[in-house]
Amino acid sequence: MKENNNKKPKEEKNILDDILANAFSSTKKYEETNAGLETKKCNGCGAARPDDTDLQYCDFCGNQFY
Amino acid sequence: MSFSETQNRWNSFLKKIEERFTEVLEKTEAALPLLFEATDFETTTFSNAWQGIYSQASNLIYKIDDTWHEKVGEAFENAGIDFNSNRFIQERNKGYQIKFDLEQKLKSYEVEIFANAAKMLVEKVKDVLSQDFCCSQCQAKLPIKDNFFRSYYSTCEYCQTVNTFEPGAKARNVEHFAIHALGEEAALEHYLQYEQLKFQNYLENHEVNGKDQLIKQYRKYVEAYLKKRIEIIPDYSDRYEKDLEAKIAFVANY
Repeated sequence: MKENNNKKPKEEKNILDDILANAFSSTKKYEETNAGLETKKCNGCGAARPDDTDLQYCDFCGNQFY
Repeated sequence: MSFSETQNRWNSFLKKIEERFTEVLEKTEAALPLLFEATDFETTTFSNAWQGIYSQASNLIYKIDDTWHEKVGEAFENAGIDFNSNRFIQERNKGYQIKFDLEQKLKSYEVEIFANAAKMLVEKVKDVLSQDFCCSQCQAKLPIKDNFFRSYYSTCEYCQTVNTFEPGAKARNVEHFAIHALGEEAALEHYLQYEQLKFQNYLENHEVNGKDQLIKQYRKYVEAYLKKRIEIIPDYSDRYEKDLEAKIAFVANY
């Protein structure tokens, strides 16, 4: 039940700073993906995939997409 | 030591714990949003920092029970108060009550701090998604949803090319981080009330509030939480009943 609070406010500030600094330096940073668009194009003829076609074969030349 | 001396020391100990707790959390409340901005809304660093602070605050709360069991209970007995007498229980419950109040405050701080960060993130993401995104084939502007945060196909109405829209890591974090935080914020009062009912049972040492009453209150919390999620991502409305049932089962079955 003994409390020695003489240096508590300073210590507390340091603890908070340490926690934030530790979280900042020890968390692994991953490269962030940005918002954007891409289109799957056929390796054979370079055509983009039109609407209502499947992803397996190119609608223009029949080349395999995947 | 006399009863009143022991009581004064116990009261001043509890007061100091409360003061230190408030001090830690108030500083955190000011510092964490700055960290979130400085890391460009990086949610993992933010969560790790909170985890450290949460441990500090929890340790302070645990000190109440620990100190009672290690020293205070015995000190009251030495002051002539019988173990488990009314006065003994009254002093012990004072500690329980403050411990519970601080736990509720910690939960409130946690929810508020995360919800504020979530709002910052959502605002940033709405900003990103309101930019122009153009078809990768013909450069015509494509319609982009501002309330869906996963990758999806978007067909260009001019050249019929299927574009894959990637909303980016920040937008994906709306689903992984923000909707939970905002749901918790919307449902907080119901959750605190649920904990209050459980605490009454604990304090009285018998079921003042029955299991049905607890489940009813927990249901209010889950409903408010899920409805808020649907407000942000309407797609979740399809699985509302299933989510509700699953979340309540967590409490009802144990």
